[in-house]
Amino acid sequence: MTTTPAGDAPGQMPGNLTTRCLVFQHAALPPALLPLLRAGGVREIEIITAQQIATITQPQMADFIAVVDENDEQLSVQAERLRQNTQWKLLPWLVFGAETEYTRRVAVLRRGFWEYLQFDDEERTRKKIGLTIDFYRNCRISRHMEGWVSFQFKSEYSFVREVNFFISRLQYMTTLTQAEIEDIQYAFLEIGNNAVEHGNTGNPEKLVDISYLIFEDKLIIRVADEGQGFDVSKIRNPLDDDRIEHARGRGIFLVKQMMDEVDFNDKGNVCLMTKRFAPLPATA
Amino acid sequence: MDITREEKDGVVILRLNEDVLVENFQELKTVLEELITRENDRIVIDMHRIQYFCSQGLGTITSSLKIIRERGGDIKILNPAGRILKLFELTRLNKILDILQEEKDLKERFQLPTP
Repeated sequence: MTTTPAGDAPGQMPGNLTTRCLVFQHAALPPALLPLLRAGGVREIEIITAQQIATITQPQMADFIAVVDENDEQLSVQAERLRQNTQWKLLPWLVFGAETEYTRRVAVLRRGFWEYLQFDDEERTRKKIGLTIDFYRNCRISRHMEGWVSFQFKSEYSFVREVNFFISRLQYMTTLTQAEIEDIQYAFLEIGNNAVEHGNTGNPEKLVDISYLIFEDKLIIRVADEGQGFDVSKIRNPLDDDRIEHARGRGIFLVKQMMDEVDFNDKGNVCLMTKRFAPLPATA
Repeated sequence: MDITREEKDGVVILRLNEDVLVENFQELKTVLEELITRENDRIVIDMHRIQYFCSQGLGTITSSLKIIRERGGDIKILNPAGRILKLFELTRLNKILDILQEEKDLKERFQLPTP
């Protein structure tokens, strides 16, 4: 298996995986914050006010949450309410402020936030954002909880392989064996390459959308391309006597052998693959 | 794609030094087509160094195999790693391909009936 290591710099994910951040803010958005987040590698920023927080219930997709340290009562209450929810709680919550006092920082950490980052310490803050994103992406898998990773990449084979490298980390966090991980990787490479080659017809500007959802006992990978799809019912069994010597038609067949379930949507441009595994034994 | 080519007793050995990927399987195809054109019909593909073989790459072997067998030659597979052997087994290509575990008496192997 040829793999390409993830980017060297913290926060630089393979390919062009988008880093997304939710900013929780009430009174005013400090002018230094957004440039700082962008410098830390964040591509997508969504600003959420305290009033909006009050209406949120469902977890949202983000790599971390940036809370503006405003000493704002309403913001704190709402943030605490969200953090009762496991999925919200497991997101990295970083507090951004101008406070230089050590005691304030400790107070923030004691309340379960991951880090207190100062606007005026740009170098450290930028690095810390990158490290947080990396760390969180790893432990989001490691907790073998319900969770998801989702991103888009341009139609290039090299990105498919880089994503595949990411899948290899599952072996440290689930009961999947090395051989099973390699099966998943093979299946993902075949489906991912099909999406690039047939779905998006090799046009690098078209996007491939990948999600994988990790449950206690299964992994679901979804691969969607922007192409015309294909007639799934026309896939022939490559084991048929008249097919065995044919050049094509083995990819999806192999994927079906290696995964527990493989389904396509009617159009044929979205593939869902499931691999089941035993849950990790409960630890004390 | 890094392929070392050797010739021994009228048998061409292609040693694959690199995984066969969707980006490079065409190069294997080109090499096989060239051998077919030159009527080098006794081919051994040494796979012991590789861990990955894309499905199109498997197709390249089967379509060349068809032509070569019609002429009485063969493509044999040498020493595939466990991962690669699994691909052959799942696609039942292990039933139609002659998979060798060691590199000896290659010339004689080509005189035996193919599976």
